[in-house]
Amino acid sequence: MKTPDSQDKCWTWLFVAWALSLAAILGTLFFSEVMKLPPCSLCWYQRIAMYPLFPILTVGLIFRDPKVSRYAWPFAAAGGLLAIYHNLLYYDIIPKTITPCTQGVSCTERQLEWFGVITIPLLSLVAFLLLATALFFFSKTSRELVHEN
Amino acid sequence: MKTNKYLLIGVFALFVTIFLWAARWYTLNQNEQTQPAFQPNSPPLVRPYSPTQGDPGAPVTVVEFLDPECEACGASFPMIKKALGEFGRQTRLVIRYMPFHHNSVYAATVLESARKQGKYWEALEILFKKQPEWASHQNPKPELLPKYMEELGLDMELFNASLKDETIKSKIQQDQEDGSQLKVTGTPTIFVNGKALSRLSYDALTEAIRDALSNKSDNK
Repeated sequence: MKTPDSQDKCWTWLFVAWALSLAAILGTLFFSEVMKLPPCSLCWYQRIAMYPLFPILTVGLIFRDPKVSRYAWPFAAAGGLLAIYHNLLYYDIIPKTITPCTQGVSCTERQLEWFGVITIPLLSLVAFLLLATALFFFSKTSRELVHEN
Repeated sequence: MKTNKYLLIGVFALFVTIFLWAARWYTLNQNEQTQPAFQPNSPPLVRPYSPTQGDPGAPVTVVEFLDPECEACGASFPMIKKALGEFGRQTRLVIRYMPFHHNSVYAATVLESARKQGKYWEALEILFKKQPEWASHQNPKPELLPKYMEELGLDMELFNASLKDETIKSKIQQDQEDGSQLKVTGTPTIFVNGKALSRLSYDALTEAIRDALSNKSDNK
């Protein structure tokens, strides 16, 4: 049986994941709608993975559903894999010739570079990694609650 | 046990407030940094070869980057003409190409070929008017363009020869390069005396022209 203290910890992890997904969504909207930087196709795929996480985690948090990570994992994993691929392309680790983008904004075009290091694909990767970490700890700490249910 | 909804709503509201505040700050900051004033009558904004309508010595030059295949360009063209018409000889219109669609370069070549026979503006009107026929994204029919030009009364032998003209191709390419330099990311993009129009509407355009005219008279 879990102590109330460790139960609280598990919901804190879910809350962190929820806040991260909200921050990521608002961040992407800031880039595209305020700064008018058009998203490339790989950015769009990562958005497809990130955006559903917010409503899923919101419902999970409101109803304190310990199984919510099962629904969140596929999105976080897909987004994380896409972000890894995008960064490999962006930093020339995979040759650009196999870039899937054809028209519109190139996925390797450097639209933004803060302090010479922070780029949009890197921000995406960090967001998915942090989200996956929070989900991992949530899954770990909520395991016993799942069994209880 | 349920999560404290007020906490979620509070954090959500906080994040959204930060977002809106940052958006406002960014927009205001952008407006303050007045855009690099491109010279209204010189490259990269205007090239001597560009199609021009109106008095060459007009105090206000309106440059439109357009794509003949773009629906918004077709829809807004009558509005642009109406707005310019209101100012009579005080404005002139310069057309530049920014091809974004599949048959845009071809359509621009068709227009330039018509221009060689002195029918540029008529050809542009027809292309915009007949867009639903030839420029449907699902079923484009670029083969209709020469037919329209024939109906317009062009000499088709000359027209067909112009289609292969390398100078036309290089002009369109130059327009694209200039457009990229001017950060034209969509069509239509309009510059009024070197300043990009932030909102596409009749009121925004007439206001920008009025501003440009008053700036001119202030500088005199």
